[in-house]
Amino acid sequence: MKKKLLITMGCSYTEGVGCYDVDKMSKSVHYGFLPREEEIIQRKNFHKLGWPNRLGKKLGYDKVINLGLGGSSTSGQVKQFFEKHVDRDLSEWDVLIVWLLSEPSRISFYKNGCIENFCPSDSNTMYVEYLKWINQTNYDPDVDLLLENIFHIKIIEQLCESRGYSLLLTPAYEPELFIKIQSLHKSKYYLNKTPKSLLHSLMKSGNYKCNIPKGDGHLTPDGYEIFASDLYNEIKLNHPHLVSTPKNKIIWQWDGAPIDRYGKFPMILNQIHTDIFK
Amino acid sequence: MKKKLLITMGCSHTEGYGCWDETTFSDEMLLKLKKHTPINPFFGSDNSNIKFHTNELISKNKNNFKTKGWPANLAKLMGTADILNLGKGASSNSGQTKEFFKRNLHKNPYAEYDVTLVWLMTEPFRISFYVNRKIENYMIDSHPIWKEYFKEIISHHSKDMFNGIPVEDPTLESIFYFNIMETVCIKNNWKFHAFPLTNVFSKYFRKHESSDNFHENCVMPLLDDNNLKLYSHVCGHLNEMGYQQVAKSMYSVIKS
Repeated sequence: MKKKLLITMGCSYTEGVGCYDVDKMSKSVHYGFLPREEEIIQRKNFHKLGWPNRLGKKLGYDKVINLGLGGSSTSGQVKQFFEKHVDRDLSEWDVLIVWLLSEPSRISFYKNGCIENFCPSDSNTMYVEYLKWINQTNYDPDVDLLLENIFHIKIIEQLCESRGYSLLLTPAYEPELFIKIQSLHKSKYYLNKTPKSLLHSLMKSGNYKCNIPKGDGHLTPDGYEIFASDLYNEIKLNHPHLVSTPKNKIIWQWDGAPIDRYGKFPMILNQIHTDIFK
Repeated sequence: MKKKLLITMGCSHTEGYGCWDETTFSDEMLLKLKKHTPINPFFGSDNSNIKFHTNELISKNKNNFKTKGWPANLAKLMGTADILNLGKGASSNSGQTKEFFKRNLHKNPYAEYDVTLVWLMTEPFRISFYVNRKIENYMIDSHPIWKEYFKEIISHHSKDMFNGIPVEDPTLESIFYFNIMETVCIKNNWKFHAFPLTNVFSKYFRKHESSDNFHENCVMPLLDDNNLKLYSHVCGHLNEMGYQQVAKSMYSVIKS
């Protein structure tokens, strides 16, 4: 019988942002503004305590590879998957990919040999120009953004079908947008039969929002535990064949940093390490 | 034995643009054409020819493009009766891939065929977005979006320039789309061959991508004095003789 591998894809919510180790922070700021050494400590904490490892344990998987990266776009996540995993032989594993889809307005391009993601808040001039054009149309501009997302979703669906991987899709954004996606793209890979955003419901409740640094808005470790339980319950309900006996500990890796071909953005986090999550 | 199907992807060079039927031209246009060569083609060399380059003229020549471009010639060499030519003028590699998925061809509606997909990948600098629910492609200097892409996105520290445009970042984008199409072809058990439109980006492509399905030697004849007869003096693209040569070059690679 093959060993089971859970691969998780997504943005900051999948990277585990919000799981700060407050005792190891010299100041209460977003991790990106911390001194480099402290940022690395915090991000390692995110990777350990986020939902992917918790879900892996509940599902009874042997290993988790978390590709979640803060600020990343759907297209950037797919590019990253292709860069790192398209040539990887995982035939000895029973693979499940859980993809927590990011806000659809983000885009990506290669810059300096690296995948770079662009968010509306970046005020990048190309992005602003693009938004200007889609907002000039007579249609709902969300649809253009969603069609870009659907194209990238179809790519991962193809890849999974090609390799025999299982795939589950669920949104990190509000259910209204997800309803639009589901109306434009029918897929057997949606986590829920009816449009539902587990993360959004949890965020809306406000009970598990990280507030260190103030207003961060991601989940706390307890919040990610509840989110992982919610995911597990939905998988058990809608895709029971993907569930095994829960495990006490799993092997995990975070592999979310983009390939840096020219060493222009040295990232210590790029070194993949394997650890145990109990 | 399964019937054969050839699917082709690319830009205007795959659409067959350049295979003009001069009997569709007006006397005035024919007169003006006499002054032009493939180096100094009629379309693009002065503003007056804009009125000649109309949808009506393109429409009258569509069948010529279809029957005399490289896809039709390659299909003959391969002994393939059925062709699906997805070539579209001015399209980008990303836009071509999006179009393929939009048509749901990735789901393999041709399971009863023995399919070969040949992609003449266009210059990598072009980009695409969905706008107004349509796939819009942006060529060099064609649109404010492309100008901002050039200014803001691609690295200008690169030593690898083509006509002042850095090649490496755009080539990495194209490799991504190549990998997508390769994945689809493997899944559908289709044969897949990709060729570069120019040698300029093929060496960067090869630097980052080792797949045997990418053939880095350019199949397009060089536009030099020896090959002028292969190019159109109307638009500067290859003509039907040129596309025959492209098909032969592709076939020699594919059959081996």
